[in-house]
Amino acid sequence: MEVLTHNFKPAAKKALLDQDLRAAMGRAESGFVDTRKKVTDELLNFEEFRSFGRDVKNHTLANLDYYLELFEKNVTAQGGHVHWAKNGEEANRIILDICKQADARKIIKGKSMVSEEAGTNAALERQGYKVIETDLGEYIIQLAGETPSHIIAPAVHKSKKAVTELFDRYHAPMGYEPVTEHEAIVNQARQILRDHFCSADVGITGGNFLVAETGSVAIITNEGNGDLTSCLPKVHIVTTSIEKVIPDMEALGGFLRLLARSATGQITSVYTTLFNGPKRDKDIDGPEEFHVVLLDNGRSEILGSEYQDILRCIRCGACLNHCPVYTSIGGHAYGWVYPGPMGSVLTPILVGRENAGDLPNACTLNGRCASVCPVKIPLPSLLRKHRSDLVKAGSQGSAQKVTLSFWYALARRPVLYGVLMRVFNTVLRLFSQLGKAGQRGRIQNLPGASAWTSSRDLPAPDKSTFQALWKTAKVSSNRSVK
Amino acid sequence: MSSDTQTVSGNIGLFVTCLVDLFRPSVAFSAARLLEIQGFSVSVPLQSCCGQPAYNSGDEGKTRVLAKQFIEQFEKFDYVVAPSGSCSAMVKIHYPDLFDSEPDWHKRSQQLASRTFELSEFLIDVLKVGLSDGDVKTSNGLAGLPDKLRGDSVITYHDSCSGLRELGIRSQPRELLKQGCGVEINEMSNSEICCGFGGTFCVKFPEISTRMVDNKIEGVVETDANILLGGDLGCLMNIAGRLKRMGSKTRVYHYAEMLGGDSVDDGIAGEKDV
Amino acid sequence: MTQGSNSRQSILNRIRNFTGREESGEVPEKLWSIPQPKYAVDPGEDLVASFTLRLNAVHGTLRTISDLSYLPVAVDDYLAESGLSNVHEILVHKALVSLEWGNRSVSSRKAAKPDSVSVTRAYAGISETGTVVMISSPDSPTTQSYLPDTNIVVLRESRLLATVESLWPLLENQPRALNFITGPSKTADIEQTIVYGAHGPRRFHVILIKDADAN
Repeated sequence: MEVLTHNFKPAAKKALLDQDLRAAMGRAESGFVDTRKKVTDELLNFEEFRSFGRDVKNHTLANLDYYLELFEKNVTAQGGHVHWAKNGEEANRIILDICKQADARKIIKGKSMVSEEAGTNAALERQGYKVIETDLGEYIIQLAGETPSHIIAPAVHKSKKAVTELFDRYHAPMGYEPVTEHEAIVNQARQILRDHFCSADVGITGGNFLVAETGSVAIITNEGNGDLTSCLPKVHIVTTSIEKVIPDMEALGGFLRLLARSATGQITSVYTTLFNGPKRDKDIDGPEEFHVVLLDNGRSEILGSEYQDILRCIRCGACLNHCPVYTSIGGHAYGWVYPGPMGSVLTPILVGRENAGDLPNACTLNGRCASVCPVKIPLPSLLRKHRSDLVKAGSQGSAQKVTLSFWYALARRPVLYGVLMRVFNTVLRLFSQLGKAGQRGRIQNLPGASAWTSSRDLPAPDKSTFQALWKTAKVSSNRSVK
Repeated sequence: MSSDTQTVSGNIGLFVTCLVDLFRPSVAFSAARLLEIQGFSVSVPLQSCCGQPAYNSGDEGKTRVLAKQFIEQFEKFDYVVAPSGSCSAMVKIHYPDLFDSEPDWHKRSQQLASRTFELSEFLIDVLKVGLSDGDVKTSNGLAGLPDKLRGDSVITYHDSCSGLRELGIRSQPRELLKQGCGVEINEMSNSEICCGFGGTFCVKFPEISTRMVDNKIEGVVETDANILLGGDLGCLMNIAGRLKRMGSKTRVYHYAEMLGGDSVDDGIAGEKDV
Repeated sequence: MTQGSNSRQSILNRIRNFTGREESGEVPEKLWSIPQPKYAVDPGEDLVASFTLRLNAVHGTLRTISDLSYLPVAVDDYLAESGLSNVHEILVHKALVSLEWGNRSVSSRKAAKPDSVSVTRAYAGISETGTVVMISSPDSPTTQSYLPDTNIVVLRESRLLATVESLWPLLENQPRALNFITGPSKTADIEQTIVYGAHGPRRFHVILIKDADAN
């Protein structure tokens, strides 16, 4: 996907003015947050499961080569193929090759963030293949020519009205009537996509978990499109990444309990399927070919780095849903595949920190994301690390550098600090006196402080600094000095 | 150090915090008074900044220098108490992280961390004030509220993120307010959601910050509160500043000011003529 | 493909820089011994009650019969309730073909677009989540569970398990597809409003056979 992370500030500002987006994110926020709380409270030892998730992932990462090879061995033994791709271009070459060999024309897709990362759709379309997204949210944004704005609910930013307009524009030429209500919209999409399910040559899905012990790929949906995409066409390709592997079924059971709860507040999704290769001997349906494309794209380099914890991510989206910044600006402002807290950690690593410096900075470090992460990723610490790496590379903004250096120079000299604070305090008090009667507790305009005062009053002190006053009080009451 | 109730005493180094020092000394005066009433001697060593702005901006070098200075200023005291969750969390949680490769400083920072507390955390969790016999030694109850607002005040509370998530501060200020002023908080649905201050965040991303504080204020307004309390002055200045700009009459105070015996009419950014 | 195996090797080499393993196949000393926490929402002793509760919560329905021979009647009843009495051809699991289906024509072929009703047979049920477990096989083609509008699943009470952990030991070999299905298909992609029948079946009905020895 095209990298637009350098556009964060203007994109965020624009997003804040979009009232439709505000309504949509409000709905999403209350939907995801409240339902998640209900089902995690009900699982009385959810905290233990979170620790379990963290520990299993850490163990797997510490032995990643072993588990990947075991996974590959077991997939191959069942008649499947495992392909290793260093980056997105290579993944696309592999996929194109498979499609060519299969003489494909039409390709259907279940939701796969890895395929977004690699830009697979565009690569396929450039070679003349027709690619149809089957997840309803992905289908909607495909019609709109947009990118997903959430890792679980790609069209969360779209209002019903926007969807009906899209359907009208694209479905009317096919002979469909305009629809306005939720059920009718879904029905129309169902009808159209059913035709595609039944006529596609290749189905590409993501893979939520890769089970090493059995060589299974776990795909989790509520719509069932993942299953239709994989059992109807003659070729099934899974686009996934190397850190998705887990040891065995026992681990899978634990992760299933964590994922649906954290993602959508369900105790389980409607469809969880484990795929173990292509059609067996006497099967009367199922794909003839089964391929797993393992994408690296920089992940193997994160291993052993200070950012390794982000590789535990199971892509549940809970951090997005609980992030007050994400829910204010939506996902597009982040400029790439992964938005919100996990995106702000992962994106600078994968696309280059110089391009994406605003992402780790657009955070108050409030920690709500970390408190809901099912695998206990310390997101605020990782964001702070990015800031630290930006400083080391000399990439922090110059205004910030100057202000911070000035502040630091003062703070190191407490006596001078005290004096200058008293001066600043006096200046603020004088400014506040310029206000109208009844408003002298605050300042509405202050040179150099417009970032604050453009939307807020600045509370003004009404007496000197505490340290000055305390000293005076001490002197006058002869308190003992320590 | 004994942690028996009622019999703990010693000397406290009051960690004033930059914003309180510059903008609202009454918070620190209230805190000092509250601690003195419990039987401690309170000192205010010469201090500047704990380094949090540098730390959150990613400048660990500058942070370490300021941290060492702070440790030297404060380690002579039995306890260090701050009327701020984020500032005390900086010392308690993050100072030790800074000195991974300097074992001596690491030890000193850990020792200081173990004696550093947020104000309500110190009073409730360490001194166990009021929990045994229901009698908080504060200065006379509702002295903090302006006369006009006693009786029919609706009071709500904003949980600052650092204090909440790094130190687990949620029940302690509420407990203090209940014991000390008979105040019951009318909870807002979003008391735990970030108000958008975030230190430099609010000036680096002012539009996003404004949206976040507006969301917070929606929660305040839903409770019909005429008083908002909290434990971190940065958050409170942010919310109060926006409330005033919107023409709201809701008054904003630090919870310590309700218990410290000062008669504070104005509230943060408040008008002098009530 | 040489290029492919180069990538494979370079990716594994980079990973081994971190894991410290010298060659492939070296088994980790401690494979892994992280026990899963005990599942703390106890399905309770009455697995059927718990299963039914969970299934109903996601818009699935359940009916109990005492013997497999009653299945066609139960299916007739359900289709009548759902306004589908006039559906003539239904897909069924191979083992159910020989039951007394009356006027209905049954087939155990794989599903196609026009099919509206299937009667499949679950390998097991999971009470914790109200889930049926389906296994792909020549007698139970996967498409029967996904293409038709209405999916009726036959489940024996003796195959109802408390949690998914009880399932793993029962699976000797991994089937091509192991499907966990919990209720009808749905989506909340339009303004967070749940709509049933996104792509999979919009109607999901479980017929539970009360086995004699329900252990």
